[in-house]
Amino acid sequence: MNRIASLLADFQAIAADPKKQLEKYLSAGKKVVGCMLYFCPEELVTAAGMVPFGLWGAEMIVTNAKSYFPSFTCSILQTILELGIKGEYDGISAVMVPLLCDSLKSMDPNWRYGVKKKIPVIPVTHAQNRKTRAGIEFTTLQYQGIRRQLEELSGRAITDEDIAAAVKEYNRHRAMMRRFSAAAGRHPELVSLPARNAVFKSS
Amino acid sequence: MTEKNTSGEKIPAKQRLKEIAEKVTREAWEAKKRGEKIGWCASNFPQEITTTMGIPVVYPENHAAAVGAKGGGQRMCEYAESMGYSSDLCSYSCINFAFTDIGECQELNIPLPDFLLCCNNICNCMIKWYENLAFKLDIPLLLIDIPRLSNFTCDDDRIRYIRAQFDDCILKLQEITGKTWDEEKFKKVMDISLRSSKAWLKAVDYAKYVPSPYSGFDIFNNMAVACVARGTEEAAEAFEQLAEEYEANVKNGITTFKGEEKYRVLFEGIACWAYLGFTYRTLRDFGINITSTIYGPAFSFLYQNVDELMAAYSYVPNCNCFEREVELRVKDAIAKKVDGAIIHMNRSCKNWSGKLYELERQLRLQAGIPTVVFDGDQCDPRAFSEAQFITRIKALIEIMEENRRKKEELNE
Repeated sequence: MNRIASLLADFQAIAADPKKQLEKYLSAGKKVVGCMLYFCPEELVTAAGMVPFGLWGAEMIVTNAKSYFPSFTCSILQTILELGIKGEYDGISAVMVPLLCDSLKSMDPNWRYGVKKKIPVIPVTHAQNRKTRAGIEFTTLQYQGIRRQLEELSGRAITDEDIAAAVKEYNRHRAMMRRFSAAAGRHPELVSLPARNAVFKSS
Repeated sequence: MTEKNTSGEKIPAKQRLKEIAEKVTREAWEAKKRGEKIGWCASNFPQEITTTMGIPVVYPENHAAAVGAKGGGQRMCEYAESMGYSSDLCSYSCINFAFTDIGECQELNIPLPDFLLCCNNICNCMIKWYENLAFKLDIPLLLIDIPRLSNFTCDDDRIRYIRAQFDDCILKLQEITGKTWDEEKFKKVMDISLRSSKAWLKAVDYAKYVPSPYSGFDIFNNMAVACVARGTEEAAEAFEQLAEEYEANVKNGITTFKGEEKYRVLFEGIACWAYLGFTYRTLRDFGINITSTIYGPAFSFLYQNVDELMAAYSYVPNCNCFEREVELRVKDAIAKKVDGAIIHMNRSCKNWSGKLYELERQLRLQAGIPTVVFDGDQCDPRAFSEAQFITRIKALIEIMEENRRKKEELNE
C-alpha cells in the first residue's frame, strides 16, 4: 500500500467508527462536546481544552427517535437523536445545536426530553442579518454566552489568547482541507469520492 | 361602533372582518395601479411598520391559504414541483412559487411585489422562500431576523438586535417607497394594534363558556384580519363587535356551532385548508367543537412600549422556547375546558411538526387530556386522508366518552 492509500485507509477507519474515536478521547481523560450540523463555534471548544466532535448520525433503522421527530424529518437529525437516546454518545459533556434550520429548532427540546439531562444542550444562535453592526454584536453576545457555558463544563477559564490560538489552528486546518479538496479533485484516480468523504468526515 | 348596511341593519362582525381582509388586497391593487410600490409580507412581520408608513402589502401565506381552501392547492403545488421545487417544501411556499411564475391564479389574484418584507419568527423556511423570490423577481428583500427563544423570556440582547433591524428596515423602506416615518402615527398604530389584539383575545376567550358561543372554525375564518390589519381602527372596531356578539350569544344561550356541543377540543396546528369543509363537517357531525387553538395568542401582540413590541414578536408560536409553547396550550386547554386534543401533523411545517410528539405528551401529562394525531398538510391535499381523520376522531371520542363515564362514576 502506498502512502496515500495508507493515509486514506486511516481516515476511512476513523470515519467508519466514530464511537471508537469518541471512546479514545474519553479514555484519554478528555472532555468532548458534540457539534451538530453546521457552523458550531468549534474554536471555542478547542480553546476550552475540550474536543469538538461532529455528530452526523448513521445509516440505521430509527425507532426511539420516532417518538420525537415525525418521519419526514431530516434523517441526519433523526439518527443523531436515535444514537443519543440509545446511549451511543454517553460520556459527551454537552451537545451544541445550531438553530439554523426548522428541524434543528425542534432538536433542542427533543434532545432535552429524549436524552434528558445526562447530556445538556447548548443552543447556538447566529444572527441572520449577520453583516450589520447589530447582527455582529448579537452573534458576539451569543458566543460570549457559549464561552461561559464551556468554561463551566471544562472547569477552566478561556482566555482571549486561547481563542486566538484556536482560531489560528482552525484556519490552518481549513486551509489544508481546501488544499486537499482541490488536489483530490485533480486526482480522482488516487482519491475516490468515498475516500474524500471519509477524509472530511474524519476531520 | 357598529356599522350598518344600506337597510339600516347591523352588519355582523364576521362580514365586517371578511370585508376588511378583502380591502387589504384591493387597496394593494389600487396602489399598484397608481404606480406605488407594494410589498409581499410575511404573516408575522411587524405590521406596525407598514401600517405607520401607509405602505400597501399583501400576504402570500394568506393568499396560499385562500387558494388551498378554494381547491387550487394540489394544482399549484404540482406546478411548483414541475419547476423543480421539492414536494417536501412548505405548500404555502410552493403555491407562491407557482403563482409568481404563472402571474395569475383562478382562485385569487394578488399584485406582484416591488419589494419583500420577511420575518423568520415563524420559521426559517421563510428566509429561503423570500430569498428565492428576491432572486427570481430581482427586487429588494428586507429581513427582520427574530431568533428563536432559547429561554422563557426575550432578553435585552435580542430586543436590542430586533430594534436595530426595525430602525434599519424603516430607513430602507423610506428609500424604496418614498414614504416617510411619523413617530406620532407609530404611537397611534401601536395603541390601535393593542386594542385590536385585546379585542381579538377577548372574543376568542368566550369559548371558556359551556357551550361555547361560537364554532371553533370561526377562528380560522376571522383570524386573517388579526394578521393583516390589526393596526387599523376598523379592525379594532370589528373585533370589539365580535366580542360583543359572542358575549350576547352567551347571555342568550346561543352559538354559531351548528350542532350539539358534546365534546370540546383543542386543535393543534394550522387548518387543513384544502379539507376545511370536510374537517368542519366531520367534527360538527360528531358534536365536537374546537374551543382552544393557539390562534388567539398567536395574533395577540400585547405590549406597552417599543421594547415590549420587539419582545412580543419573539413570543409567537414556533419562535417561543418549548416550555412556553407548552404553557400556552395547557393554560388555554384548561381555561377552555377541553375534553381532548386533535393534533395536526402538518407535513408542510417542519418547525411546528418537529416537536409535536413531545408537545402531545406534555398536553396529556399537564392538562390531563387524551390526544390523537392525524397526518395532513396546510394546503396540499395529497398528505391528508379522510379515512384516517375519521378513524382518529372516533378513537378520541371513545376515550373522551370513557373519561366522562369514569368522572360521572366518581361523582355518584
